[in-house]
Amino acid sequence: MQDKLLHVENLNISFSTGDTLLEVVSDVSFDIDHGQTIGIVGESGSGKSVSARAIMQLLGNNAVVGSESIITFNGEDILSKSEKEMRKIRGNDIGMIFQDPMTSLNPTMKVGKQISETIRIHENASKKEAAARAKEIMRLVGIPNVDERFDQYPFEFSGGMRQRIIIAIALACSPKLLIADEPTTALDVTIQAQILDLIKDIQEKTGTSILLITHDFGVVANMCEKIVVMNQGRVVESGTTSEIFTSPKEEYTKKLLASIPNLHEEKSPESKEKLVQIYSGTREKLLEVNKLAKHFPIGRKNTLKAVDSISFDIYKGETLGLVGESGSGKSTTGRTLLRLHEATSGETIFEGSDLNTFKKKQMKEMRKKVQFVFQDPYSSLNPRKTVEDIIGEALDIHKLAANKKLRRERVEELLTLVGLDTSFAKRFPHEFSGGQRQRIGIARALAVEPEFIVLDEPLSALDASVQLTIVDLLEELQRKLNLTYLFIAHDLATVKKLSDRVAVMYKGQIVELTDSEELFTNPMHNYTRKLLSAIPVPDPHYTATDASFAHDDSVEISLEGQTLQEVKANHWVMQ
Amino acid sequence: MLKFLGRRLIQTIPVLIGVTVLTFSMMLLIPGDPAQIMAGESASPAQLEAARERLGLNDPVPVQYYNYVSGVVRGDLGNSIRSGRAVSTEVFGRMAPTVELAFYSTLLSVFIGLTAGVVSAVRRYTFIDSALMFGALFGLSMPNFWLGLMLIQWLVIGTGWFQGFGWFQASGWGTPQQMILPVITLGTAGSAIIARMTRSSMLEVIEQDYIQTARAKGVSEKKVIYKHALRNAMVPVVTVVGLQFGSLLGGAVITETVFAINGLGRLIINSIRARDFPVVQGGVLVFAFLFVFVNIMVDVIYRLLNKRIDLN
Repeated sequence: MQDKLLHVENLNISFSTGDTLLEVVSDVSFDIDHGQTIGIVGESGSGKSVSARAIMQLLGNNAVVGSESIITFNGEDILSKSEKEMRKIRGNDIGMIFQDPMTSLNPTMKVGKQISETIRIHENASKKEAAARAKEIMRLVGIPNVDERFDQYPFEFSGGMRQRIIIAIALACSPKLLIADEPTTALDVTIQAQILDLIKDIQEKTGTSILLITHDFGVVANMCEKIVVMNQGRVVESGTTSEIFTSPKEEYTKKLLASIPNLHEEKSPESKEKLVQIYSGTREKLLEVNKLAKHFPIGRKNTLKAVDSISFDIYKGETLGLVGESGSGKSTTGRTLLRLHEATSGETIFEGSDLNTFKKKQMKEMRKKVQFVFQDPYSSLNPRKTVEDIIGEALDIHKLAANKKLRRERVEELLTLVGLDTSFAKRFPHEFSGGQRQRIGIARALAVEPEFIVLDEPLSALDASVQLTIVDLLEELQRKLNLTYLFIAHDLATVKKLSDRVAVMYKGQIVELTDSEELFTNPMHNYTRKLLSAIPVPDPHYTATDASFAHDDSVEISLEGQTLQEVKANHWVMQ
Repeated sequence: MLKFLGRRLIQTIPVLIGVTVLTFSMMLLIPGDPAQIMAGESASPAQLEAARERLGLNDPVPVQYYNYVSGVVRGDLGNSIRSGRAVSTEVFGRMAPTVELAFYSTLLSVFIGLTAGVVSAVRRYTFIDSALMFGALFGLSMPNFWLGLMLIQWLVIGTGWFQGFGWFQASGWGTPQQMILPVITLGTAGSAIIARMTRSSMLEVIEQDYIQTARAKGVSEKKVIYKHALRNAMVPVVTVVGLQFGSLLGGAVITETVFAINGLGRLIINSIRARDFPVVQGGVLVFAFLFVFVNIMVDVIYRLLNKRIDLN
């Protein structure tokens, strides 16, 4: 075992909740060699993050590590170390990168100080020396204008830049092992590609070992030599990356691999039929959006053009995908369409009249026909209401249930429709998993029998296998109820699967609009190509060909003076 | 920062105008005729009319208000009915003990409140936590006039260690011996509020991801608490401290009465009893100005603590 950098054997971890012990990790074993990168892949609740925290001994007071568990790092027994001895290892021999760059930096401390703090703790360095070293590391992780940036606060940095700072903190003392806990999950795809590149690059330069924890097979495929698949606190399977991808042995691994959406999958005949009707003009329009704009004032003088004069049509029964990165204006578009935001200018024509001119009463009528499903299934359901009241509220507002009995029946009907048990009606949101909650959110939207639903990133908080079931549900509901969707997402793979046509948004504008197959096989706008090339490919033998776009921020994409033009039949590109 | 301060000062102008409107209308709304009081119970109608004329009560209300505000701007708050001296002299002469009392009480409550709050949060769900939070609840629930009386009963009369009465009866500043009990009386409720606020704020901050980041760097637990957690937890606490200072000014009215301190609070109470309206008016106005001033200071501290806040 001496040659291994990290050796984990029979790791058992339980959390005490009141009087009971809840086992969250059982019999987990794996090794990391010097200079090796291994990935732990699993869905939420698989125990992957807890195992990583055990290596740092950062589990908190209510965690109990089993007596037969062994963790040795660099030949030393981690589990027998005192808190004081552990502190010498943390940040010094083992660095850790966390998931959410927005919350993982101290908001009231200058970033430079947050980096140099690590150096000053572990090395006998003066303030000046530590600052110089910190600046050097900031350059290493690709922060521009280091001298100026050194004295700024985290809020002055973008998400990707913050993640670079967090990586700099972890690297400050040249650790032998870097633990990266979902380092790119909270980031946009193009930023994700850059951060993964950076981590790879750092490994090559410094020779540090990396333990990469993720739920995304796309991320591990090109990063790791070995993969450990975890489920419900146990190791399901481990092996080299190509073994896992090409010949998975366990059912669970196969299931996970199968749930990765395939970008090259052909669209259903049904979807193709829809497109033919749309393009030949035989399918009815549901919504006509003309030069819709939404500007937000920033301070007294400036405005943020969140949505800057966009036009598109939505046809009955289709799914229009709206893709873009954070800040592109896609969510604002969805909200402005339903007048959750008031439009600054432009029209939204629905059944011949402009929604934006509707009075209160007309709008209330309208709300029966258009609904919204929110991104976060945890915060979008009132925790103090039962499922019956959450779904039933819409029925009450629009007086759709004559009495309690009918209301109850309708709620049960809706629960069945979204694939939930009718007995759930009396229970509260916290009793359900993320996927179940999202189903409740969908049932709530369906309660008023709408024609049109705006789905605002309904999948992004869910595990991949759960995402797939929700996508299936949405497709099934669309078929049964003849629903029209505006599907807002940043994840291109799910967009491809669900949408008939896709609009790509960038800086408040639609830069490309066409059917989804055409978009993915023949992307024309530079920004679309950049997005597509940034998607991590879940294939260890894949080598990027069009990588320059995603990985290089210097490719300027300007929209100045351009308009959306039909470049070829039914393929609109900003030019 | 200076720009911010300037803007913040300009913003207080409407607030201050509102305050003068309120104190001015107080004069109009309270029962009793100031002229009658001034001229005495047995005044003849002619004397009464003369008093009215002198006080400007025959002018239309807007003119009265204009005269009042232009007086305030020049520092002229009218004359006391009782003593005949300028209200400004009366009020400013009594301000020092009140401000000092409120200031020391704030210091005390910040010191006790922060310490207790941090200890409670760090030792969450232990005996110390429960004991401190019980103490805080007790301190919060206890009316301060009662606390003051009990302190006098036990410590002054019982032991003779402290001199409870007459902090500022004579001119000059109080001795520590005289000050301790009033400061405790006034500062207890504030300590309790700050302790509870600090505890809940600390508990929230300790759960944040950046605390985990700090621990993963190898920062010692003590430094995690004081360098990383406390500064962030202080942000909401500072707001409470500012509001607290305001209510301390109000609380001073009672505390000064209990301890016979010749401060602004006591002046107002006595003037209300004697229906000496100009003094009441002047006192309330000064209290309000103090409150506005303190809250500007709170905003400044808030901004220094939390660089993210852009108070545009």
